[in-house]
Amino acid sequence: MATIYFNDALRLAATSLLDAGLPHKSKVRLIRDVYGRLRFALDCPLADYPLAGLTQLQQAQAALGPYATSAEVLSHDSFSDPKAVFGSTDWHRTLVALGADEDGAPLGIAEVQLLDRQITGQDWLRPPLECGAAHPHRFVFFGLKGGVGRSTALCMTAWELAKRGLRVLLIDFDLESPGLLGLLLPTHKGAEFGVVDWLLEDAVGQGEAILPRMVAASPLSETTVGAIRVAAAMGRGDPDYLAKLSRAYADVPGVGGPLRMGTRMRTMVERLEAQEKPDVVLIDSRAGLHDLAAVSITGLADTALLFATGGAQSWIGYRQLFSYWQHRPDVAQHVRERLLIVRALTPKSDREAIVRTFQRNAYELFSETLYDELPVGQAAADVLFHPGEKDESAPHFPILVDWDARFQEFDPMLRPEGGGATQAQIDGAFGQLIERLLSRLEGDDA
Amino acid sequence: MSAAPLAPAPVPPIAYEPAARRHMTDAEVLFAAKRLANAGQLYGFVAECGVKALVIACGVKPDAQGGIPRSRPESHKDKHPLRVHLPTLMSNISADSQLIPDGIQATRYLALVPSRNNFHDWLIDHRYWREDSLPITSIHQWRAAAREINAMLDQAKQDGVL
Amino acid sequence: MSSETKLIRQGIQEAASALDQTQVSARQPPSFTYVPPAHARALDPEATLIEGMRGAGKSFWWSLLASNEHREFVQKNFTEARLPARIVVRQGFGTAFSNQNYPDPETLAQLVQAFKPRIIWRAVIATHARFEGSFAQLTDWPQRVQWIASNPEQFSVALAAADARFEQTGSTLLLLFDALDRLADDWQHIRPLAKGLLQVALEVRSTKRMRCKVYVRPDMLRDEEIASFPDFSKLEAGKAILTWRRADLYALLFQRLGNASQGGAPFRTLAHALAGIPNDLASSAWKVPQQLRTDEAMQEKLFEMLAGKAMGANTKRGKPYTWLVNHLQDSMDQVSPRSFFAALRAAAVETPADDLLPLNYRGIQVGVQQASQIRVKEIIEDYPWVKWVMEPLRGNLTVPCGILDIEKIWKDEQTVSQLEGRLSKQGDAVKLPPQNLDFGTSGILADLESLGILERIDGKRIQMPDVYRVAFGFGRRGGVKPLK
Repeated sequence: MATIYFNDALRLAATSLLDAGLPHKSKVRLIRDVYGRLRFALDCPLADYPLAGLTQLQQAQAALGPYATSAEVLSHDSFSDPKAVFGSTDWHRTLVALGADEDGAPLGIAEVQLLDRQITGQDWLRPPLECGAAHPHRFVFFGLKGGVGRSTALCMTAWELAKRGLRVLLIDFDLESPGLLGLLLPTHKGAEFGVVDWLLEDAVGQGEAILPRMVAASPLSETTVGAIRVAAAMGRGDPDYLAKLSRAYADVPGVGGPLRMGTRMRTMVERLEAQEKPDVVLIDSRAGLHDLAAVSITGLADTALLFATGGAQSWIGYRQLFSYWQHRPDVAQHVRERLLIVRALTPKSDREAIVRTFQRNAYELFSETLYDELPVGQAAADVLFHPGEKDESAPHFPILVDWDARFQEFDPMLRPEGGGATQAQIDGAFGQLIERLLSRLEGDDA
Repeated sequence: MSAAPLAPAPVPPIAYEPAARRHMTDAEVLFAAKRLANAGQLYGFVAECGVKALVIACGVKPDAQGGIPRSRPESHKDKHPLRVHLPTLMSNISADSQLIPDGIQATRYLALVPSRNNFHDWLIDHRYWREDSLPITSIHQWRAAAREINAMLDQAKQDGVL
Repeated sequence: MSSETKLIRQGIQEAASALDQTQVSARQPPSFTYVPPAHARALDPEATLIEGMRGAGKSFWWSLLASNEHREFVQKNFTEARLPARIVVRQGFGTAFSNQNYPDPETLAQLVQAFKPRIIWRAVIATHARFEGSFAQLTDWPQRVQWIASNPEQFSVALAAADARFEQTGSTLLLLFDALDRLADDWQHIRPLAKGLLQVALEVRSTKRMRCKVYVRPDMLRDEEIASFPDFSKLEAGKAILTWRRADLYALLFQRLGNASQGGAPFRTLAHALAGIPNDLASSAWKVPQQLRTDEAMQEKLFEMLAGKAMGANTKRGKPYTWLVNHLQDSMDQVSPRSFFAALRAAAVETPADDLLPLNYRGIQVGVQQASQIRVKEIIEDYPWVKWVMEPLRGNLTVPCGILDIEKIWKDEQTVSQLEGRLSKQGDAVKLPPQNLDFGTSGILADLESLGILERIDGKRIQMPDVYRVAFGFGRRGGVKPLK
């Protein structure tokens, strides 16, 4: 028997669900455990499922070899609260590619109800719990890699919005690469506590006390009509950041069950919003494909700005992420309208050709993964989402942020004479970004 | 003429996880019927079985019966600290971090049972006591903790740990 | 507000309907004319070659320039067109069948058997330049063409004399040529006539006061035979293109809407309030304010008052100002005013009577679909072969698709040989075969590309703009498939 690897297991399990003789197919689901092993899960008491079908499933499960969790086919009888288990929002209609037959002819795509138990990565699929509660627009700045100018863009955005009279709240969730302190706040002007402190103290019930002491005003806003309030990752002069960091991610026991990181982050953001009453919230997300980024993008963002440079690396990385969503269509539909692509570090030379290529690649990525397929003869309408390649308000239509050496090691506090940037230079490099964000703000439920 | 089939290997009688569920089901029946004294006992068993199921899943090697072994491999004289009932079971776990090989995993799942110390006034000997001597007002806390244990077991089951 | 809304909605329909006629007529008020910056250059008599796709305005300008009333409106209000005050405009070929002004296709077919095309066209020039002497006595085209053929030196002399006469009166002669696809029944015969015309047009440039203006479709200019005479590059270098940028389309809309008998007044109020200039219809016609001709941001704001801010519950689904044009663009990013207005008119009709805005987004969506149907019909009218090559593909493909996928269907359906079979038959519908039929399927694709129907990307695949995709029956590939 051929060796069964991680990718094969789901495919084999999905294939066995296609068997014509299998009874009550709609009741048969799949649970993938934290080790990647699978079990069939019947959404009914064991006694209600025909024995012949059960035997079939047991054999199929056994055929998964090391990728079967155990011999047991799960059912309602396997759990004390089957309603909670089978009713969880973590089940997703999932599309599984069935591969190809010996001749290379593709076998198509199967649909299964999959519960994917993961230690990390779960939050890429969790939509926000209450979309209805009113809150200021939350912009999340994300990049697959660091060093693409995300933090600088964030800083400039905050400044420009403040100049337009907005009250801006910045939150640094890039705990592993804390950046906002130092960029927007001179070190001695940082708040006493940081985000990491809230996560720890809140775990022992002291979050409320931290809130007022974790936000500081950036001196940048002193010359503006608005305000820039910063919740940095760490407090000023923190003597023991690393020790805190390693404990900040722990699940915290809660009344109704464990509080996952995502929930806690959202709670913190909501509490800060209640305290600061900002017009807009800018969140610096952790870079890379990680749970924290997932929470920010999928769970928190009203708009997620995805920074990319033009290389193949960017496209490969984003394609992984988008494909992951694509295979859970209900998640894809929810997430795609919140995304905006940012072409970071756009060079000035050869610009048109580079931008054209980037635009095309971005459109192809989105259309191949997240946009709806338009059946023959049908235009995109209310229900189906597939913006045209040239549509300037589409998620794939890149916002260009210029590469400018001036901004590489930027000190926003410096006056232009001292090496800082003039308004014209800022407009040149970041103008498009600001305009797009402003129109997102205005466009909120027109 | 075919050979006689081998006798199937004996299935170990102890299975903590289904036992926990069974005790819970029955405890709830008794609770609804206002038979609080014995309901209370069963809640304690729910917790004991649940915790023991967890520690075995986290690396404590079971004996041939499927249960916690009589002693630890390193010291055959002493009784295994986990082969006890509540509330000692919980205090022994808290006291000695070396007891469970995969302590981190155990901690993660025990974190799902924040009320686990509710059994501080539960005793195995309660089964011998007269009713009016029992701390029956604690039954609500015991019940709450037992529910958490069950929820924890469901999580661990889905995760493939159990 | 709602009565004004209704009026403006009617105004939009009125503005859009006037565009149905390619000929200007008394029905279309001169004030509806808007000259986008690119077209100003095309009106200049010095621009001899004018390139424009179907619906871009070739025939429109061809007939407008010949109408005194309309031409004077343009002279007065769009001085950037540099039309000289004293100008005589004549039509040297076009759709209006008038054997007076020029030989009709049947006559041409006869003439071309005996005479070279350049001779024929010189005769046309001579007629409109009012050659004196014996030429003036001739009454029909065969005679005139014969005269030119028999008197080559006389032609140059008479031409110079005519030029001097115009010089004396201080006026300019402008000869307009349009609808070159009607020169003959098939490509084989069109080509030499078109080429000859271009050659003569270039010749006429040597005079001081006489100019030709030839309106041509882009695909005709790409034809190798037509473009193959020496000095064609001179013509090409000076060519003007009737492009319509987004701002131009909206400026045209505003110009027409502002002068509409219904709804013009409330619209002008809106426009002036936005541009911050006073509203006065002092002169007989309203001119769209400068700010609203090129400032896209301001145009967008004004259009928002007509169509709202979003193509849905919020702007994530697009904004009408950009969405409308994006979905009408062909593969070369060109939109014809005809399509633009067809969509707007249908949108006005579709929008419910009691809607708060003149246009709602659903109406616009329907409008675009209808415009797309119309666009396809037009293309097929002009190039019947397009239908025969596209029909076998209907319902079978999603774009982007591989070129091989298309070729496979054509092969299975024997499309190319069927096409050749039809072309060899006599008959009306067969006029224009794909120019590159000799090169097989890749030639056909090149032709389709030059018509703006599709675009070849990375050498292996085809992309198709929505304006054609929907009507030709292609799907659009997407990552999220529809639920079964």
